[in-house]
Amino acid sequence: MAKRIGLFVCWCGSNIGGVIDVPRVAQEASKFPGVVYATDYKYMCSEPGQDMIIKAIKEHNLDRVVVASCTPRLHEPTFRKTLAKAGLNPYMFEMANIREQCSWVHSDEKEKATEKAIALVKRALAKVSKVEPLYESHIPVTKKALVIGGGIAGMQVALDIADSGHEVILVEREPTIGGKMAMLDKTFPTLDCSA
Amino acid sequence: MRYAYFPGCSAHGTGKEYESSTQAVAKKLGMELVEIPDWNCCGATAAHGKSHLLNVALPARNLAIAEGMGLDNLTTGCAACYQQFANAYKEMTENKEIRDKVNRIIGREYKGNLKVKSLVEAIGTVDPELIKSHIVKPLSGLKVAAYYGCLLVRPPKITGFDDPENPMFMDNLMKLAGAEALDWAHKTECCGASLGVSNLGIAVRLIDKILRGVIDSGADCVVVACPFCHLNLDWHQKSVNKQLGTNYEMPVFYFTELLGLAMGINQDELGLKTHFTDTQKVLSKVG
Amino acid sequence: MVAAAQHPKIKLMTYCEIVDVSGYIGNFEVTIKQKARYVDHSKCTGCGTCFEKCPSKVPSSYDFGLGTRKAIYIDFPTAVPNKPVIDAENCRYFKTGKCGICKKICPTGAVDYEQKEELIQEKVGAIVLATGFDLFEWEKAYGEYGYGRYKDVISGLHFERMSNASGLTGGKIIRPSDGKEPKSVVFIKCVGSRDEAKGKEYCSRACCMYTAKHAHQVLDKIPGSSAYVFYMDVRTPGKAYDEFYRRTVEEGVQYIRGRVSKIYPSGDKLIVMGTDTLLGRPVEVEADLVVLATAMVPSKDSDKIAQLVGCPTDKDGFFQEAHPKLRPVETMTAGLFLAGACQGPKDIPDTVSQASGAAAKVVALLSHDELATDPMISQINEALCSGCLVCKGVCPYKAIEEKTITERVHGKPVERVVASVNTGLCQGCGNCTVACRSGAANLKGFTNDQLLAEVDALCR
Repeated sequence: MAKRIGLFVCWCGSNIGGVIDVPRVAQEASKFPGVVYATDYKYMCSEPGQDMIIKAIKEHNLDRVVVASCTPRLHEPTFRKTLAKAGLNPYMFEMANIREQCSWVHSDEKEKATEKAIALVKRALAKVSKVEPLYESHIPVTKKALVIGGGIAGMQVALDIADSGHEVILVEREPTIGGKMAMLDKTFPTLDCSA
Repeated sequence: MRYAYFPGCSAHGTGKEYESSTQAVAKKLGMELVEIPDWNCCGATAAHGKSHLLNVALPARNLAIAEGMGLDNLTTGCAACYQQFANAYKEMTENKEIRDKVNRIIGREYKGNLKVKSLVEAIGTVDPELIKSHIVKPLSGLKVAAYYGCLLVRPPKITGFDDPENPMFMDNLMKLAGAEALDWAHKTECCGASLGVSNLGIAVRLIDKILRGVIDSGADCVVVACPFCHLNLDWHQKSVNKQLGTNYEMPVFYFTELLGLAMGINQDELGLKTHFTDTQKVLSKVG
Repeated sequence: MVAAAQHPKIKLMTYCEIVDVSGYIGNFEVTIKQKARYVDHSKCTGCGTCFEKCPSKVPSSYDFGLGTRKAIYIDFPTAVPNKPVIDAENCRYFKTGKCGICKKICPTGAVDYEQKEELIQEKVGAIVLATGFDLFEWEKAYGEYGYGRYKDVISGLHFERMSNASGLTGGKIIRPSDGKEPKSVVFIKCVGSRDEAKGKEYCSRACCMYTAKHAHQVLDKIPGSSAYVFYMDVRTPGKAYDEFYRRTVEEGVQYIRGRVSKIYPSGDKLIVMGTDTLLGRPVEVEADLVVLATAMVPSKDSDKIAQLVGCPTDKDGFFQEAHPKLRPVETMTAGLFLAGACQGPKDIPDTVSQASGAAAKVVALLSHDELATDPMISQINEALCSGCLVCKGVCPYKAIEEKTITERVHGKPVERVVASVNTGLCQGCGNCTVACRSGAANLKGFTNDQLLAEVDALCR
């Protein structure tokens, strides 16, 4: 079955758009095999931006998506959710980072930056052509926590978890809990006692 | 053990007691000190302020000659000479650019096979049992404050054989000689060195602080390992008393003098009778 | 402390050590060693008769040798649990076989010399590391401060034990050497902190404030006393912190910007030599007591815990958080969280905040009955796998297991070993795919095929 890739290139306001010729990136990359829809928009991560993706998936019957924007550390989870909303497997997705890895570091070489952005987008398109749906598996959770260390940190963690109704095991190697804090006299800045 | 031996400029002058006691003790311990032929000034302390290259080249020439003698180690009693040699050794073995330049200047090649040990380290690393076997007149009851000065153990990246803040090599030797080496806090303070000649006003304050420390520690005498330290603490004691109104009468010994005494070597050979500050009163304590 | 001990949902296990951890997020299996206390805490009422009568006295390490404790002891009067343990190393019965006084006089028969250590297995869904800090051993590094030879040069924590009203001096600040009240106290900050030559590069963060507190306490508790603080910088960026510091300055604590180069005894005083870098002059202060603000370092044996639970440490040995800004209480191992100074030096307000943060993460995790796992993990193509298990050695998450499969070769069943990925443990790092010589290991979402296609596209 032929692949139907949708490409969305983001301006990130002037972060990308101020350096890279964004419409040209979309236009050039749209020649890549399998790309059936390519466009650009000011902020892909915004609500209208995400709606654009959902609408395009439905109208153009897209089966996979590339977004060229910022680092995947920031918005990969965002766009995966967008795909899921549109009924696609969220892993039929790839990002091209044309901000941190392109516009921000090549702001004084606009022409070359645009060429590099096109290359980065082609890389993402090549990858997305090969992706397959992935499925999360599920593991059970033992509803009990272990806290190692019975000083102020360990006691506070244990109390907060226990107050939520979960069981906690608090392990301390010394004969008493309290740690360093129990050794202290009054504590700053309020000079109240530490016990 | 054979050492290439660098006497330095004070060995036959202000520090001749150090030289004679060193020779006597070395003989007892079977250490052969082979004087480097045609040795030259080590460069202390003028060269390093003048030219980095000169500062390395002066001691390096001696190192090259000594290496040519086929020996593994060089030793010298003077802390300033030792510092110069140790520094040159480090520069010549770690910095190829300097090594090539200096070897060209001195017209010889120093390969870095000959290592540098201070006399304190050389004697301090002799088997303690061997030293003990030569102790015939232990210095029982003598309380000493071992004073190392500033150049013998610092900076540690150049010297490195003893703790820079609380050195113990001489203390341990004094214990072997039967004396009590006291813990005190001024082991590595500055004695004023050449300021004793050029700006006595500063030197007397520094000397005063050290001598006060010795007295506070309860020691009967100071033990040193440097002719300059000896000069300042021994000779300039008088100047301190005069300028600051103190009345120090603190005997100052080279560590080799006391080791030699404990080995039964006579006082004249060790040079114990040519000090500026009286030595006889305290030595009567140990017979 | 009491709140933690009395909470019905908290099982308190003191005098215990973790000896083994296996499993993965949601399903950890932990082995805990209960060290022998030689006192049955289910019978002990904490009446204290035993440690009143015990004849073996030991210098109290809890109180920096300020006083003594017995061989059967509690560390301090409000200890939790308030029941003693026997220090077998110093107990007369364990050393000589004679004595047995505590056993004879215990009204409930709780003393049990035969008690053995015990291994306890527990299953948990999440683990929080809160192993705290220890003090930098300044005695090994700072010869200029006497290498610990001068009794009246002490650490800040030692000072706390004296100024603490429930400590052995009852809150009285004294000189350890002669028990006299000091009139002149010098504080030195950054001992081991911010000192690349002798200690650590980092700032220990709490010292500026506790030194200000200590200096205040000296002036407050000792009439006619003076307090001096040698500092490099004063760093007081917490809420109400700078106000506190300003107050101590206004109270008369003398702050001197500069390092101390030497401390030496003179009579029964200590002479503190340093430089006032604002005046550009050397200074000497006569002190009765010197208090060092020593660096915080990871607690002893935290490296062993790190190995047991598989948590990376940073260059200084503190546990490494997953992200310095965005994931400060999580680690790279799913289900393993951090709280307090084990992650880096911290004061109490920061520790409590981080602890509550870690608790929120744990509660979020435990609120699920099931967890979805990241599908971008490794998979093994069993047909290609040669069973060499090189991948097992390079896996930092212990996620590769051996598996025996049965194949038909020439019509006969043959058993052989292949690698298998534990989907709960695999974090998708890709180490195994690089190490695998037969190309059997592949990372889902980053397959060799996909990566090659990307390279092709870039090179074209």
